[in-house]
Amino acid sequence: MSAPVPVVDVDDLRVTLRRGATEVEAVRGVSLQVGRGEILGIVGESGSGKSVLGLSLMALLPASARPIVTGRIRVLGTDMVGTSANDDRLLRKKHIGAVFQDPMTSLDPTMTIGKQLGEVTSDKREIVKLLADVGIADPETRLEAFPHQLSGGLRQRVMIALSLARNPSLIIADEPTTALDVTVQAQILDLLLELRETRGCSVVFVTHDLGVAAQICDRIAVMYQGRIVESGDVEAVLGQPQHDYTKGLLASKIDLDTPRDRPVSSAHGAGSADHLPEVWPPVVMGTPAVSVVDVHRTFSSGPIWKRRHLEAVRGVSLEIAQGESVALVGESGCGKSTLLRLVAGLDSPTSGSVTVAGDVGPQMIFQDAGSSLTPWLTVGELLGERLRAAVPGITRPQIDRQIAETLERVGLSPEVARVRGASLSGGQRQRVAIGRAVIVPPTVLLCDEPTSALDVSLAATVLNLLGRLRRELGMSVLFVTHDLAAARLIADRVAVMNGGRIVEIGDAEAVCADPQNDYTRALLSAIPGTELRRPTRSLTDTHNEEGGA
Amino acid sequence: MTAIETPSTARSSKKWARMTELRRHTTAVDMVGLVGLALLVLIALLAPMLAPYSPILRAGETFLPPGSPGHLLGTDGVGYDILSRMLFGLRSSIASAAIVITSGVIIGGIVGVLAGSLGGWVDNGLMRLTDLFLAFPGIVIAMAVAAALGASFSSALIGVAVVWWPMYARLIRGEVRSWAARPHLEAAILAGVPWSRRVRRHLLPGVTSTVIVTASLDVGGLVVAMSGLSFIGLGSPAPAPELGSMAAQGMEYLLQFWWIPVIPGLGVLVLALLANLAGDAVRDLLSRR
Repeated sequence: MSAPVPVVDVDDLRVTLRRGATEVEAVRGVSLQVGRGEILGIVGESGSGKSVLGLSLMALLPASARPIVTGRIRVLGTDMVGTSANDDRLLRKKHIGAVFQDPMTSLDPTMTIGKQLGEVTSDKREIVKLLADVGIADPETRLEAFPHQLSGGLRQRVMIALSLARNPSLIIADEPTTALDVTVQAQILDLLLELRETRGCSVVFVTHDLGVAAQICDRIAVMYQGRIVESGDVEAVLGQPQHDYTKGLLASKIDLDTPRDRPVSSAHGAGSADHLPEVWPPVVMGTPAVSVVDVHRTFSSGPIWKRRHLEAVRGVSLEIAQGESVALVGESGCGKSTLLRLVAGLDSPTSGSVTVAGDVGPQMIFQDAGSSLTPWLTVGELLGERLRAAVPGITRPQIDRQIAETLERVGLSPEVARVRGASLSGGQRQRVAIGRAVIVPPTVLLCDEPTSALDVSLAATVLNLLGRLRRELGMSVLFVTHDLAAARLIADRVAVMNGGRIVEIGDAEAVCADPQNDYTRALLSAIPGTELRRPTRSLTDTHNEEGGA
Repeated sequence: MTAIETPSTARSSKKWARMTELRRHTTAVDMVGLVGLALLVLIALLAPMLAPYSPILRAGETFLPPGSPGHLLGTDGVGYDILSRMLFGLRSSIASAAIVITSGVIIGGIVGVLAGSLGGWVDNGLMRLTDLFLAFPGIVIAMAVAAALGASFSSALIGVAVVWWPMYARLIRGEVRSWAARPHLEAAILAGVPWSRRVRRHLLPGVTSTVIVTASLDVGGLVVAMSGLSFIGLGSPAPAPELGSMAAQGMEYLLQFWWIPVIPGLGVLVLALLANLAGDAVRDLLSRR
């Protein structure tokens, strides 16, 4: 026994989940080890089995899925597969801390932070120390706060504090930063790195984002269809990827170096319909398609005698030329989505004016395409409805023909017209939503974070599709995103919003290369590229000196 | 992950495909509910043909137990044939449940959809009116209305219908509001779909399954409420056959002649149970659509 016992030792793990009569082999023979103080990244797209793997390590697989687990999982030498549920729970408490994507659902909304931590350790001094350890300023006053009174970043810090309370040797973090803004994400990653240094605990970091993995992990295991297709040191995997899937993932990762003059490559050629557009560059006319003049939007709540006002948009002026693409970038709460809804006409400004040229008006693509499709109507019914509303007196055969053409244009087969949104995949749903928006080409297409709910390779194909459609149909595009890298790719101009105002606006490349505003600079530096966090060991060309947080 | 269903190629086979799909998605329990309720309705419709005696004329000896020759379910204290009264009673119970629940869903639906989709002062006004009805004990209002109209089957129906809709109005308003907050309605607004069509095609189908389940759960309660009115003399006048009042009035014989209250009681139970199962089945079918 000269070699130290690894903190996690997984050997030929297979997990089958059952739903009704169907069985899904989510994990198919995974072996991996995590050493003491090591951070292992498990990277993969949705459905790759990465979360199931994370949950099996904690013995937290949902009982409703009636999981069948074979193989071996040892955490600090104790078996996690064979033991009964009660023993499992004891082991888990002793050895493993868990951090999930959405702290709002993992924290109890009816209990104060102090009470929730108090369930784990009754010593108040220790609680305060824990909160201080995870970088919460003024921890004493936070004890009385409820989860909803904290920001997303603070909630995730509390969640980390909870997971640390029992002094675990292993933290399993499943997409802990996905729901957070980039600047907050950078802080949480720093915190995890710091905790590894001070406490020496190992971390299994599950993520779909290679950039995030590059920043924090020592080793990376890339998962695809339930198997680990490639694993190794972070430098090796990202520097010289061996497996085609890893190469595809890396290529479809959008960062500030992605070339703007051709479509983004995607991981498994899912977007075969995305050929190079014939018209390049896009034609931008001088006439305005949208003009927003000194718009304010204030939300009021509460009874008349103690009204509270929230100024979401405070004096924004913006003009979008015909055929132009503008990206609105900012973090959550900056007013970008409110501005988009004002342009869409779904909301009206408190003061100021919004004018959209043309008779067709704006169309919008929502962040969650699934919920923007009426669940009980077929794709054909949804598209046909749009046609009938926009073109009075259109005949049935004309409608059918146009629907088939549009579906083909967005890269779907015409048969999709007969199914409902629920039987389509996430990417297909977003294509349907885009199809409905462009079946009658609108003056301006409004996009509300259309890619943030999609995997990288899907995001790439959707961005390509939007770019192509814009050129073919000559639409203007107003694109709301929290991701400056995606904004730079799709937009001619970028407007950065903060606190309800546009703080910087200009040519997309110029804003990213030479930001004038401090806030823009902070946003840019927080974007995780594929550069590594330790510049000395970096193998890739770092383009951004202050980057990498 | 999810493959696109391949639609059946030939149009003529569409109906057949639908039938097989229906069978595949329907569990045994669902079938019991649907077939059982259909059978009950059929029996109720055919009551005049099936009943061996008149329900309101003496048919033989009093207090004959079930299985007596000529009286399958026995006779009651007056000498009425219980089987015949059950058949006619089922008829009036199913009819009253159908009428009151349908009127409740229609009135409550209109109020709920208007309040939920228009919001603002319309919502406030309609919901306070609904609260007003809900604040009084329902049976008291029903009694007042029925008494004012004079004791008869139809005034009892009107009385119960008056207190039955506010619950549906609340339910439907809540459902409408939760669906209305979903992006698919905003997408429909942007697509230029007119208001009436938005309500009809994008909102109501989402509400139906909840309403159907609630309505099916309601059948039992309604039969009991109607019998309450008959019991205190505000429903159908005395000899008229009605499951609820037969059970209620038979209670005094429970210890000596158990079948007199128990048989109609079982009738209410079976009707409510089957309505419930059928409601569940319809909901399952709708959600799998």
